[in-house]
Amino acid sequence: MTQLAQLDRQVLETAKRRERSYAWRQTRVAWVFIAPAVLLVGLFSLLPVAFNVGLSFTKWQRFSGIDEFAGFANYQRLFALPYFSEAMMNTVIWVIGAMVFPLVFGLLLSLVLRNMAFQETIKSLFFLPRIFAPTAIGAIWYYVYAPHGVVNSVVSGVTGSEFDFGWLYVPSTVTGAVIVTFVWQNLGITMVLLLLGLSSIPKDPIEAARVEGATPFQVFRYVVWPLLLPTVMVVTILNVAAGFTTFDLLWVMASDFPGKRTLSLAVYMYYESFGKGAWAYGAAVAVVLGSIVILVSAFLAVVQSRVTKRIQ
Amino acid sequence: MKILNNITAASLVAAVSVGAAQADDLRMVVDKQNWMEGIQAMVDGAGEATGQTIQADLVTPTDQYQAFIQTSIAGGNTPDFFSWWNGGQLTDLAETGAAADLSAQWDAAIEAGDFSSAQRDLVSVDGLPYAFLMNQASWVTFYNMEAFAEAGITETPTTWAEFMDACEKLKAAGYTPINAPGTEWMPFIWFSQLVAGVDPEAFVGINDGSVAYNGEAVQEAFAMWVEMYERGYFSDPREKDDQKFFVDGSAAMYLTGDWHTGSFVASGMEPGTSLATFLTPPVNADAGLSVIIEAAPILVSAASLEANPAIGDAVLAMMTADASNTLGEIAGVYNGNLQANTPNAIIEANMAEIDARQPRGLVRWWEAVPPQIQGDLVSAMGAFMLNPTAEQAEETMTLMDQISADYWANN
Repeated sequence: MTQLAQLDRQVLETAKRRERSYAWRQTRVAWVFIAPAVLLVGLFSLLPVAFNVGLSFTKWQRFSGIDEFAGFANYQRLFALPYFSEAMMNTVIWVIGAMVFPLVFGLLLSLVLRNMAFQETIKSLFFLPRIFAPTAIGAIWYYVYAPHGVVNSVVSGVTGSEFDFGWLYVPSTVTGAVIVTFVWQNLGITMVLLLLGLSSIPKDPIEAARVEGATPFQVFRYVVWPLLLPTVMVVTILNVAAGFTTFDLLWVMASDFPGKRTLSLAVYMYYESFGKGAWAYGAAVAVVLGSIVILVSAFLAVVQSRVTKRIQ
Repeated sequence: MKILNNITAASLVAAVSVGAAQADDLRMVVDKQNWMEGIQAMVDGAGEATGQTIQADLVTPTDQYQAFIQTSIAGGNTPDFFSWWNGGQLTDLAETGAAADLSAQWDAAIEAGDFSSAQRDLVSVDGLPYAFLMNQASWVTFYNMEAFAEAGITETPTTWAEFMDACEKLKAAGYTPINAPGTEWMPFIWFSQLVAGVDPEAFVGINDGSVAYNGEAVQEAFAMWVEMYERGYFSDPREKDDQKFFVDGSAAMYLTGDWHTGSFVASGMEPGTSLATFLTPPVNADAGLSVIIEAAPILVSAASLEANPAIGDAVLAMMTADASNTLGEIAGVYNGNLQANTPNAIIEANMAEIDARQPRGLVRWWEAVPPQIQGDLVSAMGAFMLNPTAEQAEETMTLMDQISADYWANN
């Protein structure tokens, strides 16, 4: 009996050893496959971020000071001049504009186009601006808004008197003007994503609601919209990220605007670092911008997860 | 097959040879768009004289050029030659050790009578010269002689009252009196002239932090700037082509460095017939006549010079009268070589007038201001030019004072 128990234990231990060995082999194989990705992310994403955070605590500007510790001085200086606050405010406007307008117009378009003839042709036309680089779009729209550009020529033609308003030179209009360009360029992709979302909604609940006497608005509000929410969340996350990081359009279109550094935090960060050589201060702006983006993204991820659970 | 192998081998050798030749080329990077042809001719001459190939490359606009040089130096990839600025701009760059000490070349050039010790001082930090001159210019008011004649102005203004009177006559004759571009770095032009014209001591003081940017002299300068805008003396600051209104004949005067002569001539203006200059009179007669002086230096990478001492010979070649004449003839700029020809009648006349009237020479604001706040201050001035009201002037001065105070408190 004792011998039998001993044998059982030996068999059990051998089995466990084999299992451990197998698990270890599996882990090693997994690491072999994961390692390149971990290495790349670590080397090209996490390490530069850590380096940037470190830089923000130095006095590095132009050609000197990288080896001098500044403590929180760069963060304290963020509010010494009005630029950071203005850039922050404009970034908020950008994020709201980039989130709301493409979604609203994209949704309207996708609902209108859903059952329309020549849908593919019209979709392609709206999608066309998306295939051009933002710098090229910016260069074209610069002339649309120029003092003697398309917009002012139209206004001059309509009113009969010369109109040369500087849309891209005045603080109260420059952000709005560039957001219009952004919406124009991104409307197509938003519309296509929403159309995909609409096409994946099953027809049964819609037909059931109609049979029950629901109005078209009620069908949209209580059936289509909840089922479309996951797609809306994806579109929102993409547009919010674009709103935070838009740089090229602003840099090209507002190149002559004296306050262009304040047009967004991304532009301000670039201007301070690469324009002025205030590398450490620019790094501090980048840390703040990055932190905000992470917080907002995390919030949106939580919302998305709750929406998905509710639908399931 | 053998033929194919030979062709392949020959192609590879040729490709490697071409690659090697390009890798050995020296590179000069500048931000002077209008002078590129002259600069390339000058470096070609220096290259031929010293058996090297030098390629001149352009990077613009100014803010991106500065970013390019800063990142090149930070990355240990300083161009062999590059244009920069003197004053505070040169000081912190020299401290990096990236720029070569050109004492040997300056000693030889001074001994040969090409340059003076005073010129060497323009590009020196702590007594050591870190650059050679590509341009040495005076800031004067260019004017369209035909517009002046049409407006009935027979003498160039020598007092501020005469200057304002000339503006009024030009306006009455249908001209925009003054071409005043406001893009990129240009907003500081009239700010500098007016502050220097009100009080040259204050002009010096704002750049070392001893005078506030909303002090009395600056307030007076801005009041005059507002008044001139209200009277309609300035052109639209939004025009990207800085000389457009002047060369097309719609604006009659243009305050700028006399290095600009070449591009005016290239656009069809003729010195002595349609183009001439005068020293801009001071706003306050008590302030005395002053003239803003600009120097455009070319620096040499210390690492390049150490690796290739023949670069020093190329520098010497670019400091000769021949190089100066080549640059002057093509680009119309004068690098100050004492044995060279003045490139045109305008620069010659300016030198003669400065010699005769002995104005106070002031280092240009761009070079004198701490580089860390240069861009912020120019932007504030640009905001005023786009909205030239008394309220905006007040806002601009307050912001400029904040920028300056913040800098001096932290440096």
